[in-house]
Amino acid sequence: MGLSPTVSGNLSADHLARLTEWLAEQAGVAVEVISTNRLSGGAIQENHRLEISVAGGDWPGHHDLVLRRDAQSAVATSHSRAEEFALLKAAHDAGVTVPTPCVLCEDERILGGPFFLMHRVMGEARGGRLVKAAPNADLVHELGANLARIHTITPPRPGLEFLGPPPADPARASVAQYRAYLDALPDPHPAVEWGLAWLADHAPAPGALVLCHRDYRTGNLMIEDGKLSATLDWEFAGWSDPLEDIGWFLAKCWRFGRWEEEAGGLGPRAAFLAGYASVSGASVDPAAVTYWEVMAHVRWAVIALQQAWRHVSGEETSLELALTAHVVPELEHEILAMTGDAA
Amino acid sequence: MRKNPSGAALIDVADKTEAQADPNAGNANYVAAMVRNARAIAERQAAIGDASEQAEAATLKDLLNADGDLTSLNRALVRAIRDGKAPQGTLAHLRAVVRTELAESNPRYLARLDVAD
Repeated sequence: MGLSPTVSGNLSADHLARLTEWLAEQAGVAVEVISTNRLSGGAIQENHRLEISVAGGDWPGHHDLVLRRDAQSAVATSHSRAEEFALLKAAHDAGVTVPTPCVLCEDERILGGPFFLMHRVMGEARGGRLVKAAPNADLVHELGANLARIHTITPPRPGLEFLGPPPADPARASVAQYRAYLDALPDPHPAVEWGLAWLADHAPAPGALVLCHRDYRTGNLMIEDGKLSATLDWEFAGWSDPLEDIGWFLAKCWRFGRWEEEAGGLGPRAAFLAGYASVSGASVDPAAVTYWEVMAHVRWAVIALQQAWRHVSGEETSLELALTAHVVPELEHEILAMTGDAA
Repeated sequence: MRKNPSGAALIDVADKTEAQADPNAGNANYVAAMVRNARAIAERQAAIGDASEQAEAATLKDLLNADGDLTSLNRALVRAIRDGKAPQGTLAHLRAVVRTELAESNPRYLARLDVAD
């Protein structure tokens, strides 16, 4: 987008030859790569469609896969491909709707960096398109149930040690982190600061912590024929309060303009929460959700300001990043509207 | 206080993006929409000029009983909010500033809010 550096396109012939050989070693039989092409989207990670035919062994036949690897512009803060593969496996084992993870390769001699293969899943993830469909209570019920399945994964969890120790107090830790992020920016942002003061004053007592996706929202959920087909973009996953994910999903800023459908612009809030409770076994306190909806707007405002600063500072000239600054007044309005009793 | 990049800086990145855009790219419509949006924001800012930020600074001087430029006044307000010492009238001030910025960045959003109220 904009003036961002473009990343490499299709896999080279050398890459394909080494990949084919590596796949045959994994399968123990001959493997033929039928076709490959770069899929659109993904400034941080590259996705390539990979159709292969396996001549026998444990995985005989034709497979329609996606190969995922770091793009050249990868940022250091997101999870590595190996970590993302571990998260996908944990989620898949918990019954979360994700592309089935197949195999991870950390040998950089094959493609110059780590990559993994997963099943290719069809569907539409773009929020602007999805909110044009009729409101779908069954869909958002399933999205709630799916989120509750993610939250059945709890620390300590073998294979997810890279997530680090769970925070003692996720709400207060978030407030401290976002204040530090604002302090690193040159301009003052008093409306966001107002929201942070409210969040500090109203922080809930820490409860049980679970695996949170931390970007579970319309735009990262692939939908096909009105049903969830994949939960995407696990790079921000971590241990947190399960209400953080619920508040992020329900926040007005992720409804893609269809404000009246409070579950991600896709359907009613009550259906989403009922779906969540159908798996978690406990109903969700609406007031507790409100707190995390304020947190969601504050978090997105801080991220948007950071993204705009990447442009303003000259680190990455991009109209898309520049315009992100001008979403912030919408977020500030919502923060002020929800926190009238602050300070 | 307007978010950066604003005004001339916003027009500059829009111009550069347009000059380098590939009209046959799959995202050509998206890029063109971003260019239009950036120019529209800058035009609305130019129409309002300095008036809104002068009003914001005047209110801040009253609220904080302090002097200084708009950035340093807002920095002082941030400090007061974080210390739990936001002066009476802070919320009303912030709401007015946000409405002014929304009128520049996304007037349709502002209009929808007023219909919903």
